[in-house]
Amino acid sequence: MGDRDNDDSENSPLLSSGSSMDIELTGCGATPFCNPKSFVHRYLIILVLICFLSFGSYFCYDNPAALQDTMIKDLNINEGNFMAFYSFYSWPNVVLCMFGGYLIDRIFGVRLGAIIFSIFVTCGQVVFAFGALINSYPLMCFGRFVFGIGGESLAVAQNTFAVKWFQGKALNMVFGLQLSFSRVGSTVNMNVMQPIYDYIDKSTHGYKCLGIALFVGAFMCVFSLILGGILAVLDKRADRILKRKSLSAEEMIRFRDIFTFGFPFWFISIICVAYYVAVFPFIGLGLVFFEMKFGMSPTSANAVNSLVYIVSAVASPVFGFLIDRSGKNVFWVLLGITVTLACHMLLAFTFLNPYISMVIMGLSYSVLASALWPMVALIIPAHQLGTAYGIMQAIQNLGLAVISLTAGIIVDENGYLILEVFFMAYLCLALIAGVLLYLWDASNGGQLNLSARVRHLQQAKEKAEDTDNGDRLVQ
Amino acid sequence: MRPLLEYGHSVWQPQHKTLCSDVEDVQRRATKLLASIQDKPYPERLATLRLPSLEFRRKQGDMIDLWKYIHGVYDTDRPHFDIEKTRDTRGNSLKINKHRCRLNLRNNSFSHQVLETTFWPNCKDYPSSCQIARSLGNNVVYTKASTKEHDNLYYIFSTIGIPSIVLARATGADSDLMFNWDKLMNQSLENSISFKKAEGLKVNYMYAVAFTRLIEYNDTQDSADLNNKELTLKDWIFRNFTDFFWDTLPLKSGGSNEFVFNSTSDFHSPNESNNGSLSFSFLVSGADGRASELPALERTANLTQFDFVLDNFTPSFSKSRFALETVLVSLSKNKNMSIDETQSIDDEYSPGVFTINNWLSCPSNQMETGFLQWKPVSYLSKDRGRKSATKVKHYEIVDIKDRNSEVAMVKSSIVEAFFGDVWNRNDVIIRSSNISFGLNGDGFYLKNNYTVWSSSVGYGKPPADSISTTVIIIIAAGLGIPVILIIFGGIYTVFRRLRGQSGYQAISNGSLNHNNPQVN
Repeated sequence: MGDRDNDDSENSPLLSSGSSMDIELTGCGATPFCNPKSFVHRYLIILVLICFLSFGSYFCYDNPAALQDTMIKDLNINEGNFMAFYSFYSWPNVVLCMFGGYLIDRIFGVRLGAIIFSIFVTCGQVVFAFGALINSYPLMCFGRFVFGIGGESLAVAQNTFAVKWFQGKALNMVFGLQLSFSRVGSTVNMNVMQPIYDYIDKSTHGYKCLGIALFVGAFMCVFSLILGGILAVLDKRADRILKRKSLSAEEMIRFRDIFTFGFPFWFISIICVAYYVAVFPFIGLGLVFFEMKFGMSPTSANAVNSLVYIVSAVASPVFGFLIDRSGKNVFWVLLGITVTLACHMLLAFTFLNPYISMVIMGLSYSVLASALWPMVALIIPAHQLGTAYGIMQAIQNLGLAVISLTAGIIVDENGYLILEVFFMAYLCLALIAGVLLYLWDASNGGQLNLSARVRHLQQAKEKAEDTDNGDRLVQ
Repeated sequence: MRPLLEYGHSVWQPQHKTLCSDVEDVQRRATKLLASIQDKPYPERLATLRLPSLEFRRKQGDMIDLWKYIHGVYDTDRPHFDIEKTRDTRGNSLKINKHRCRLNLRNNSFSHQVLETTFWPNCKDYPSSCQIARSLGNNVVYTKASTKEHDNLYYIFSTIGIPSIVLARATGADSDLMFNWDKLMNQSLENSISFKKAEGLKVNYMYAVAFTRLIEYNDTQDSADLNNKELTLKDWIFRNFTDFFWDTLPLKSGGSNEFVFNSTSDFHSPNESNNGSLSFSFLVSGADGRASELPALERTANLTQFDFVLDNFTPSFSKSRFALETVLVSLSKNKNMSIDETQSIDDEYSPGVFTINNWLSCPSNQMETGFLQWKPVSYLSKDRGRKSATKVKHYEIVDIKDRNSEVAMVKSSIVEAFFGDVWNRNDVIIRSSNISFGLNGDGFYLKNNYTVWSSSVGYGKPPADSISTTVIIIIAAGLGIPVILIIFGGIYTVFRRLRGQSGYQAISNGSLNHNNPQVN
């Protein structure tokens, strides 16, 4: 939308140049590689840094799952204790990432925020690993808690960074790419941790071996932390060169500002929670469903069950790119919900090979995820974005935590048919919220559902207006 | 009801354990001395062993009395009864019967069919033979399910030889089965069970279900498949049920239609101190309903449900899985038997199970067939939750008429006692299939040292699950309401848009920066 350029020219009426490139860049800075204005710098350096920013946290998040059997054996804990590693991560985040987002907006700023939350993630993982090393289960739980404080808020910082650099350019694709990287992170973890453990097991055994293996995860966090530092430096440099404006005191977000977010934001949040709870808790319970209803072997049932992850890892950047080209985000969101609903219907009411339904569900999930999250940046001003993404993520975490429990109870009591109906009802809710979003948007200017062409025209026009303003001020 | 039953179980189990070491030898010797059993001390010692069990039986009997009282089923020691209540027929069309039965339910009268279960039938008439049978745990349970129209089902459950169930349908007159214990204790059981003569009695159909072997195998590949070619000879242990010793049932049923054939034999592994048990728990159903425990199989008036339980059995291998070799014997010209798998989208009664299997003894005639019905699920723990559910797999049906060892086992059971020496006749079909428990990755039997599998044995058309009204209402509400909302919302908006179309275009340009009010 060019808000920053806009503000910039309003508050610093120093130069008349239409371009905000007003500082002489020398040396490396002048090459496209380092020039923050250049395409190469943005996509080759910044995008990679943003994507790897939360690689460490995604890698470590699923460490317990990758080492489940060895962990239970080495620490001599039961399955309930093991699941607590995930509870200690997710339940605090029902609240914490909202504050994380608020802190990014209000106090830290996105750069410092990213670094601070990366440090939390790293420390959490180190404590977790150390707890394993000395075989202290409570310390490990505490480690996961600290890790959780950082993890989700870091994702908020990552989103905010993405918006800052790619707003109006390729934001949908960047969000898609972030999604892929989160999948890549957990996939790498799933495949790498056990071999690492086995390798260490040659010299050390038991919980000590486990502790050392977990320290490898901590190295990933340190790696992400370093990248976060570089990103912060480059971002600060870009602020200086591009003359992005720092916020004044009255623009700083206050807590009551969240009540001014407006209907579209809450509709998006409803879609977010209602859609995600119909996909992920289902995957959590899917194994038995595929085995029993479709008579699959546990191996192929597992393969089908992870299809959504695999497909979305590949498809989301592609769909993100297409959405960037086409615009019409609301339309894509509605499409994603409807197709997912159809997939659930196929799974519930037919015996059609689940490979088909799950691949389509993976595709529709990619469409939705890459179209939904960037919409927030279109309706919430930049200085409130951290809070907005934090709230959205908090609601999503709450929904996932509660619905996962509910879904388990429903399966035990009433079976998978009712469970599927339950998920379909949630998708219908998401669909209603989507339709309402469309209607609200249509009667308020249709900003969210603009085609890419119109959006670009508007941007160009704005830019021209900014330049006019600047010129006038100078005159 | 179950918790108390199990509570009782847990009470007598430890008591039994202390006595176990003393009596174990006796038990083992008794099983070996099948032919020569004149010694008195055995039954006496066994009687001492059964004492707590009797106590438990009494408790159970009391409870079932209560149950019967509530449900209005008449019970007595003598096989004659006279009920004046309205009853409907179990006529040719079972469907109509079912429907009427449901109406009867509403009338608070359960007794469209009268069940009457007798433990050790005719025992008084053959005191010495029956005493021997009791000392050997050669249980016989006889249940008659009769209607006023004399369309009766006769069940015999027994552990003589191998655990087996015989089911016969006879019409035309009310009769009873007569048990000759002298003959039953003979080497040749032939004709030891027969119908009491009655004018106009017609035996329409009879068939039998028998369990010949308990198969244990070392599932080294974790394939949970008996046909796995990788399994070597030493991975298998076949235990003939003829070698098992069964607990003796009490003399009186106490009006109960539930009973357990339990075996605590040490399964010929003398090195292991074993307190495990293998049991078949039967429940003869006299009315429509559904089992309270998973997989909640449907009940009708024409079937008996049973649970096969392997509890705390010490497996021979760390990757042991088990299977039951099951035999169906049918007296009919029809040469086909099949195991039908019916799939459903609905798993409301048994979460996670979408298939129901019916092994029909005479598939060509739905009205004159016996069935063995089960869902392909067994549970690895007593609480039978989703987490302990594992698969049940069945295998191709094999004709075993020429397999001497299997036929010999069937011949040692009440199947021979009731059917007679029919084995060379053309209209005898004797087929076998294995039913195995387990699924790749379920942690093998060893995980909980427990497996339970439920099944139904019955006559006529097997019950079929249908989607319940509750589920239809939930589907209609869950999907219908949003659809209606969207349709009406859509129509409303289209109207609004058509009316106020001109208003929008102007706004779309101006509201771009509504979050950032322009300064100038």
